Amino acid sequence: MKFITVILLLVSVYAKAQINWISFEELPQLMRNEPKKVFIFLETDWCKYCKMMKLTTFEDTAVINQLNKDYYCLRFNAESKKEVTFLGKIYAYNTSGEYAGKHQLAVFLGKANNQLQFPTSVFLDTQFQLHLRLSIYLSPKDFLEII
Amino acid sequence: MKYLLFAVVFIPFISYSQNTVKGKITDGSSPIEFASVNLEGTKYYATTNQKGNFEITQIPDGEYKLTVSMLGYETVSKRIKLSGGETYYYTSKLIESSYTLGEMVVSGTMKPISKLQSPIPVEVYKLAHFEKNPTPSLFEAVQNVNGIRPQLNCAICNTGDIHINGMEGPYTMVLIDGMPIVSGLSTVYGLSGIPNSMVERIEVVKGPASSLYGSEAVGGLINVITKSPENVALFDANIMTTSWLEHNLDIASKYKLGKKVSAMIGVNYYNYLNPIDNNGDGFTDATLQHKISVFNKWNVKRKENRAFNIAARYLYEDRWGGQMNWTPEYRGGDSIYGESIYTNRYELFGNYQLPSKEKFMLSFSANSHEQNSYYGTTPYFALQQIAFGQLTWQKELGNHDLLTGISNRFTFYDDNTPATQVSNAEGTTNKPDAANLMGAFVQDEIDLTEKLTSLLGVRYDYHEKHGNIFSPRISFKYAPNFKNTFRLSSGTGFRVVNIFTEDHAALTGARDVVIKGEIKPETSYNINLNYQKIIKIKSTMLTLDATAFYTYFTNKIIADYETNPNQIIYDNLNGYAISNGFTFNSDFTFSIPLSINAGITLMDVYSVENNLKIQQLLTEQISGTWAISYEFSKMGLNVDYTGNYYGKMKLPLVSDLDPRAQYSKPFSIQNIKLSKKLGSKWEIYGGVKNLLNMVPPANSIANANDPFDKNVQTDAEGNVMATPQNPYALTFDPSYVYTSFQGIRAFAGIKFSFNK
Repeated sequence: MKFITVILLLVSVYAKAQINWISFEELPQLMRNEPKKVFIFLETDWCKYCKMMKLTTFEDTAVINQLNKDYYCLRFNAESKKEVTFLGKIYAYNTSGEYAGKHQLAVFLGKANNQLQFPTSVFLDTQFQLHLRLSIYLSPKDFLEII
Repeated sequence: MKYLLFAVVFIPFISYSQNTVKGKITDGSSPIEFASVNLEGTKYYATTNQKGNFEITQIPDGEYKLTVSMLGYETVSKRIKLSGGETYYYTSKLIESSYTLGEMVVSGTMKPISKLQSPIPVEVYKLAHFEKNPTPSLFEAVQNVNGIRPQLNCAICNTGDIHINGMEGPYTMVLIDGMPIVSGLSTVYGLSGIPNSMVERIEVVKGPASSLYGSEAVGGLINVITKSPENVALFDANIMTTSWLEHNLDIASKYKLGKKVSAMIGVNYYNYLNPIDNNGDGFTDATLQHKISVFNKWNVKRKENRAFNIAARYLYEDRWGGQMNWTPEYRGGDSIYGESIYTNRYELFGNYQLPSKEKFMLSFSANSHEQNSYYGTTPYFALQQIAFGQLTWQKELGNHDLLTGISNRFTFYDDNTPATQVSNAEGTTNKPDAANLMGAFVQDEIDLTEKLTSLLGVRYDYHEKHGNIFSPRISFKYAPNFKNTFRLSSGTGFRVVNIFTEDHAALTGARDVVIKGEIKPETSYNINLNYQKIIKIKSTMLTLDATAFYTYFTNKIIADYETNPNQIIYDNLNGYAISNGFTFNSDFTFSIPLSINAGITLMDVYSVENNLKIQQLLTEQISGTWAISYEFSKMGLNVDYTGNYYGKMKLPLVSDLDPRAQYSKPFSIQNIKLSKKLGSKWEIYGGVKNLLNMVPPANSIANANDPFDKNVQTDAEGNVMATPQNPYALTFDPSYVYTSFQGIRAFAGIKFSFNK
């Protein structure tokens, strides 16, 4: 009996809410049907504060509920090598020149003051207008204040 | 009731002023969807549909500013006047803006260490990690990495190599931007002379890396990733000096050549010309040197973002160490002992993506390394030239990411030692080494499931002397979630040993070099198991990383100092050698600007010959590193406390009577640094290196008072005899060295960064 309770507890822990991450390809149709605010998280594999946000902020129940309610959430690895179509344009991995080794989409979304830093959180409003962009670790508390 | 009244009052007004704005937004050829059309300062707006059309209705009479904005395009606006229920048509072509969303940004402290997601464990160190204890070159900076030790090979000339998990320099490969600085002669030069301000990060692979990098680097590889020209400041300068008067200057800048070429240039100058002998052995405690290095990198912009990068580097170094009253006129003579080395090194490397739809990449590098040196009376003049070319083809097929390629490496080597001479009946003639090493490899990264990735690779090399060499590699990564990652990698290594370019001890001191028989290549088998765990403790993230490593050598060329104290014997191993151990790293990430990381490495490196276990000399069994940093954000003040610890090492003695200890004492080097930002352009910093004033014993150099062994007497068999002048039967030998003689010292510096 105890064993079953433990299992149930474990299952309930693992079945906990998660951010509903969507892809860039899905976004246009969703925006056509029901415009919402957009949150884009730019990360790299080697960025530690990106992991820290995944561990704390994006596992915070209040943040998850608020994001899933009001936002379409996307995350993007800035060093991904796959082409991505976003708002009718094709973005590819930069092999040369400006920001070699970074994806053009990450440069497009995240570059500010001639710099691209990680993590970068980009908040767009329901009309795809840039609302806020922050290249800093955002704790659950900071994040809730923004959204 | 209220609403009714409201309606009655306003309905006539609204009905009288229903204007409409409609139109189409395009980029000139195709419609733009999701563009936002606003009447500024009002609530009237619309978003374009898939055809680029929009319509705003029920607009009261008046003057408005109509604004059309869209991510990635220039915003356009127009003043319009609406009256009398008109329909205003507006069409606009938007112009693409440069890649940016605007300038709104708040920057934070970026964490300096992490690990890439590849199946091969790659540790990534951001520049900030090395700036915690500023050093004139990356060679010294890597002492801050757990499991890596810059080893000084000579107490006098301070030449060094980099040990990864107990594996010596030649097993390590140094790359700049992933382009191999293929070099036998002093790989360490790959890590000196790149101004820190041009470095973005350093990637470290411990153990066998990708098949791409050949089969020699079983110890691991260090990849220096430089910034792209757009990411460096317009002008960057960093000048530092220490209480020993070691001056270091770094300058970096960027420029453009026409519209297509962006470039950056960096200059590093290091100067230390102040002989100090604190331990009173009559010899300089640190090697005097001045070194200049110029690094230039060009990025050529091509169609479809195809890669074309070229980098060139020049390094000149003049270093000497020896008796305090040595001057260049004593070079090579036998009155005052000195070791003097002039180094001239050129490098050119780059990559070029072929203009085809498939991803073909051509990488090339060429370098020339010339060393003109005297170790006491022993001259060593060497020239090594290497040309390397590699063509790779990358192809994604479903869940396979294939990489295949061919390479060729041509090595020319000439020196004044018997290594490049042939002797026959007619006498001795010089015969430089010139050899091609051709290779081909194929590698497949397979995403077996979302959580399991494997990397399979095999490399084939054809060596002119040693024939066919196959070296397979296999790695797995299993990550059930981002908090847990397991990695397993295994491979074989193959290496042809060149004693003189690799082992500095062969040249210095009084020991005779004895090479027994034909030196055979070294073959090794390696396996690494790594586990990374991310744990959340309240709002703190703890990253734990544990690696177990094991390398088995079927043959290893080990310098034998112990059989005969007057000789260094190089011979094939009649047995096997093992290097194994365990590395553990921990890293705390707080939501406050505090960071702590600490690591420990335990290892056992030995060879077994005739059932006898022989510990590798100058190799610690336990070592640790740590760094603690705190930022007082409001004051712009940073405090960094770094340190390392090394357990005892077995050291080479020169006689049975040698009074020096067979093992070094455990020691720790600890440093503290304070830095303060002054505005956005300036930063000042200062601190203390080697806080505990840890120095090796003063008698570390054997027979220091008689460096030319003039008073050394030998018996009929050539063994050194104990005499009243030489009671311990010593011969001059500087190879008993395990850390620098430099004790506690202060440093201070200024950084300036200007971006228009």
